[in-house]
Amino acid sequence: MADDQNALDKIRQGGQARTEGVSQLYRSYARRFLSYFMKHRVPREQAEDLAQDVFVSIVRHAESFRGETRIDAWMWAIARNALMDHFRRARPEDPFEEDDLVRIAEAQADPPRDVSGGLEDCVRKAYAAFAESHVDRAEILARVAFEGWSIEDVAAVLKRTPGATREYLSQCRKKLKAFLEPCRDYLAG
Amino acid sequence: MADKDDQDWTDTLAGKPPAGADPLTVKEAKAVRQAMLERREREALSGFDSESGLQRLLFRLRQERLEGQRSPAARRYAAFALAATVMLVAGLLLFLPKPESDEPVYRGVERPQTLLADDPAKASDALKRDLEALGFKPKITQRGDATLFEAPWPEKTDDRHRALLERHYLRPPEGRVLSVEVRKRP
Repeated sequence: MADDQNALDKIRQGGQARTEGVSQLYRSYARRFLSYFMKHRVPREQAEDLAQDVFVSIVRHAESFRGETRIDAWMWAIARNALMDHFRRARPEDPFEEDDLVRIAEAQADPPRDVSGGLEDCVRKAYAAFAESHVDRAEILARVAFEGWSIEDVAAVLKRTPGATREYLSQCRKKLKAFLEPCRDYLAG
Repeated sequence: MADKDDQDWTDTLAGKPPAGADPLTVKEAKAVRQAMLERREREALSGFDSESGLQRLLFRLRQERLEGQRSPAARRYAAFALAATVMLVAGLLLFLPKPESDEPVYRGVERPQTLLADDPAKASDALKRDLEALGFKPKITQRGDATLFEAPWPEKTDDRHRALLERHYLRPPEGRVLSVEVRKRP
């Protein structure tokens, strides 16, 4: 987080410092944004363009970020908005809302069938199936698990209240549970 | 409905299992966390060249004039200088004779904008196609290994012109001529 703040400060300075700040953030986040867009079935070339759009927006709006949330949560919100704008442009005649973003990424995958490999193997397969089926939810859970996002940070990205965000995370767990069903005996043991 | 058990699960997922949480909840969340960690380590975007993408981004920021900003004092000076220039030009125009012909005069001998492309032939074709789609007849000249496009640029532009510029990472010309040199990206 300190690195992100340092990069943002440099971007605000302009000139060579801005170039350094942009480079720092790009090297840290571009791959993740690209992966996020591609998991939402955006073709690679368009996903690269979208990732570029995200960083241009970050530079444009660097001055207006007031620290209401973590910097990475703010950037992820920009990435998510870029993705929604992308889908809106693709179908200008259809209204496109956030729930549609979740639905686009959600497909019906099956829980694992072969569960003979033990708890870790079973959960690994279950989680893989969940992540393929619920791209957006898996991304949010990953931010919570590994990047220390709080409820408020998730709420800022999802544009929901903290209460609605808790409910969202509860739903994430429920949906994951369906995939973990074959692993029940291992988990109970 | 989200409850304490869900919160305990989320906290454990984040690596901080709370005291007093249901052991089954903790076991499940720890197992999921481990699976997530392994997946995260395995996931690698093949063929992603971050340096090439970064150079493209920096180029775009320059094209869109987002590479830097001046200090407030410099901005004020620039505003005064601009106002003085506008007044001077307005004054001169009042006394300059009008041109005798209505033929367009290509002014603007600004340096050509450079469009770097992995495939310059493809980029040139695309630019030519887009200019012609807007009714322009660009003058195309080969200059060594670069292709120079020159097209008169209208004073009043609309979304189609802006879209063309954006698509090819170009900025609006300062004069009345859009001048672009397409080169191979080093």
